[in-house]
Amino acid sequence: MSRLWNRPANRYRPDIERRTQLLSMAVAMGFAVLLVRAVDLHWWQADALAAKARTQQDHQYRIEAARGAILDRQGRILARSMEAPSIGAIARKIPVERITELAQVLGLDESMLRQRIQKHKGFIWLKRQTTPTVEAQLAALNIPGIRIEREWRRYYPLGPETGHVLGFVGVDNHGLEGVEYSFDRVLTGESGLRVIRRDAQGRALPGASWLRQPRPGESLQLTLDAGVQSIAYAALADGIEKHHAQSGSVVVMQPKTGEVLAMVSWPGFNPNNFHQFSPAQWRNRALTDVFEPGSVMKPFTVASALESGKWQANSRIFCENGNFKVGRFVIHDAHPMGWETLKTVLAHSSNIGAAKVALSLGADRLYDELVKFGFGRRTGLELEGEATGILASSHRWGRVETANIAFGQGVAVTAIQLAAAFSALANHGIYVAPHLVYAHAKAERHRILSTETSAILEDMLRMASSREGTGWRAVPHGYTVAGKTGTAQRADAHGEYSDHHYTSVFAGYVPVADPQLVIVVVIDEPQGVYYGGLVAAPVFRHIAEAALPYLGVLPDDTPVFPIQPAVVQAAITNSPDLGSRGMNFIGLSLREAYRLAASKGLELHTHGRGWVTRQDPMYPDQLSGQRMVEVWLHE
Amino acid sequence: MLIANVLDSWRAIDRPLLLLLTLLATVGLTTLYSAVHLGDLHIWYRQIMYWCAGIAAFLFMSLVPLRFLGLLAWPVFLVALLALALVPVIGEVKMGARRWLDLGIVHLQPSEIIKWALMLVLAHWLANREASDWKTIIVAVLLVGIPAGLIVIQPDLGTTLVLLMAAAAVLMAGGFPWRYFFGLLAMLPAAGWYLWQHMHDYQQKRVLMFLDPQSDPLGAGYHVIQSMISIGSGGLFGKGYLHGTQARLHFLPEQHTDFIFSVLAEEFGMFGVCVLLLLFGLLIFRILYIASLAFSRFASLLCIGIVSILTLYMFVNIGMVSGMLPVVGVPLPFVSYGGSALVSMLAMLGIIARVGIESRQQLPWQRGGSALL
Repeated sequence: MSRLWNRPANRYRPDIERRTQLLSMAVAMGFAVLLVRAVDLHWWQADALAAKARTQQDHQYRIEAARGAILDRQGRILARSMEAPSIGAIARKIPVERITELAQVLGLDESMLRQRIQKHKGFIWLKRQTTPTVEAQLAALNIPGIRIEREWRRYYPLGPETGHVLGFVGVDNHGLEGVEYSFDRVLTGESGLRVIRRDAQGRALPGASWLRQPRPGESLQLTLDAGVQSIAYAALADGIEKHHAQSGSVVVMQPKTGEVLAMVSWPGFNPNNFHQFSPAQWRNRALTDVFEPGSVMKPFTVASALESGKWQANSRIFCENGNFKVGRFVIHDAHPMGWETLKTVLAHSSNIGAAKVALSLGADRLYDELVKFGFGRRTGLELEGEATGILASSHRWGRVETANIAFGQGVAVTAIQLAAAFSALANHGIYVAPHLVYAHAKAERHRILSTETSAILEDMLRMASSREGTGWRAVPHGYTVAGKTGTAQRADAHGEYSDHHYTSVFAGYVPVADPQLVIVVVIDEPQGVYYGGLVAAPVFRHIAEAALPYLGVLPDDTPVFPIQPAVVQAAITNSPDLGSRGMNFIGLSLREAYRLAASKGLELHTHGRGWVTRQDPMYPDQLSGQRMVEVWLHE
Repeated sequence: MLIANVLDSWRAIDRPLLLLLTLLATVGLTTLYSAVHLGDLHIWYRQIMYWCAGIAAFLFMSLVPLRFLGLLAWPVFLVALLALALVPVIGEVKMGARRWLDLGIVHLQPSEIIKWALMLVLAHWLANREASDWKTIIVAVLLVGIPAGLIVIQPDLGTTLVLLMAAAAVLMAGGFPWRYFFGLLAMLPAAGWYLWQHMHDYQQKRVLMFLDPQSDPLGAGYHVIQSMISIGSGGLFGKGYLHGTQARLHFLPEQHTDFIFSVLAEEFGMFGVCVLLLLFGLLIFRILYIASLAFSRFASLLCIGIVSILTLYMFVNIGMVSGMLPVVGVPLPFVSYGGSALVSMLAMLGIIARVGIESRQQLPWQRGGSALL
């Protein structure tokens, strides 16, 4: 041992010193490598790595913007978006033993729910767009893994009355039908982008920030009038029920402006829960369904005759006593007639008369006239899915086709086409394209008929709607109507006309002196009586006698009986349960409050959510002139 | 008298060494606080206790005469080897490896002791021999090979490699001929292939992951990728103290132990990394300087052995967390949390301080080296 300590270090010193220096150099090289790597990561790769850090830490998610409201011409709300709680869950975090409670509160089938929860691991929706009640119950249960998200839910205060026109939106907040679909771009707005920081386990940290604020959709004002829409819906429903008809539609239009005031179809559906109805019930029949119009086409045949100069109002025509052979076919009249004038042909609705007039004019002239009135092409209403109708080109018409089309068979139209055509008659020959979106710019208009012809036709149509004609049931007390009935046999799938299936139509305008409304009523397959004058005309009258006073249109005829204003009120408040509550909003849910306000024509301002606990003023109907109610909701 | 001697010794402790240790303690504790402050702060308090214990060990070892250490070399080595040999027989398994011995009071990791004991015994063996004749080399190789073999079967690849390389450094300093060195270097690929054949699955996976971490970003490559993201996203000046998002959001694994370097790199950026590397560099070169000035060959070789282990741990750890080396569980000296590693490291630095003290206490003509180094 002692050798070790006595041995001078110096003896080996030079070598060990040199080797230490070499080791130092090796260490220095190691440090150089580390420094290069530091520069590499901290400088050259810094941006890419920082981006990676952000991607895994920051979670971006979309916040849907509120969809724009749809308003009627007076600014009343027809559709609006409301915040609704949606129930989601992180499936793996839900304790199995609490699924029973969960299913009870959500009203879901327990075994189905159990299956879904066990099949998934991550986020699943349990029930979207549910009510604050469910939310409150769920919050009280405090089940781990449950997430309550806020989503937008569309609400339509008028429900089925506006269902077909407005359509509805899907769960993804995009329109699927009607105005919602056609104006989806305007109404949707722009979703916002929110960023939240998450840790490695995916838990969110408090304090999210906006990357982009959501931009709410623009609201859209329609030419519809909520009151007229309700009136039309109620009248159509009434008529359909009375005659056990299959379906029907009504268009109410302002002839001077082309603004559509109401457009309803039957069978109806409630857009607030549209998925409970079949797609056939979603169809806006006034726009998409074509039918053979029957006698309502005769005014246009007569217009063509008058415009040709060959015929005068009092030109005489022999109606063959009810049987007239054209080619292989025989045309019949419901009531056999002999000698008639052009005027009485229209009033008595003679098929033979109309056919003879058309044959004397020739196919081309009649076809040109019908095209002028807009048949066979879309009216250009702003909704998707409008049908063109069927009007074959005149060079394909033989004598039989010409004769048939003269009284509305072998041609198919839509209710909106008919409304636009009658608007031209109401405007004394000026065609105005119908439109649905409220705009200050005037609609496209052009003259298609001389004023003289129009005046003669008006006279004829008044007669057709008088006791002398077929349409007298369409005339409301105190007003004059110019209109025409129509009854057409419906063709079945083989193109054969049926003896049992009819379409009853009435189209006309009111009042005659200064036409304010064009109303077209179409009722498909009424049971029992089927004549347009018996089925469709009364619906026309119901609409007119409620809508005209509602719109403040003065009577232009000496009333036989005094006008009953009560009709208006009854037609507008068609919701008995809310009607009986008067103007008390307290205790109502948000949507019930909106419904009540809409039915009373009040503007509603809301605060909070849940149920109404306070309202101001308490008695809005006692404060004359005040159209605004403020309510406070509380959960 | 004794107290006077003790104070004399301490007065002679190398001042730069003390200063560097103080700075490293500051950096280490600061970084550790950041890594644990959102979770278990007791870890941090415990680490302060370990530092206190380590400093006590450092001061104690700076009083132990080197002659005495020389006497202890063989007994300590043989006891440690025995303990290591017992590990495969009665050791307990933690995390898939059999590394620990349960001594009733403490759980001992014999591989932690053997590496220091090996440096001691190697320095002693080569103190009066040149590592150029066959007998000397073969004994040295046996001294290294037996514990290395026992550690590699635990299995603990990281420690084995550090041990082998540190021993190689001591052998080189001890006069290992260059021609053998380059000969062995040439044999390295063959050795590598042999090693690969006998690796465990998880070890092979780590090596593969090192070669291509992106191939399984959520699995075995996760640690390295997250660590590199942490380091790189720190940029030049970092995200600020206690503001490292990768660490705070727990994307960074093992952040208070093996991957603590990434916490520092994320929060202080390249600036912080350079400061840490500077401190380590100064410490290592200071120790090498002390080694070259040592009064005896034994002291020199002992210093070189100790500093080799320190240096290798640092290189392997930083290389691992920055994606340059495969992930082997090696802590960063002075910074990573861990009691036994810190206390033993400081105790070994106490030996180096002792070398400095004894060198100084020699008469000028008895001191080794040129004053210029």
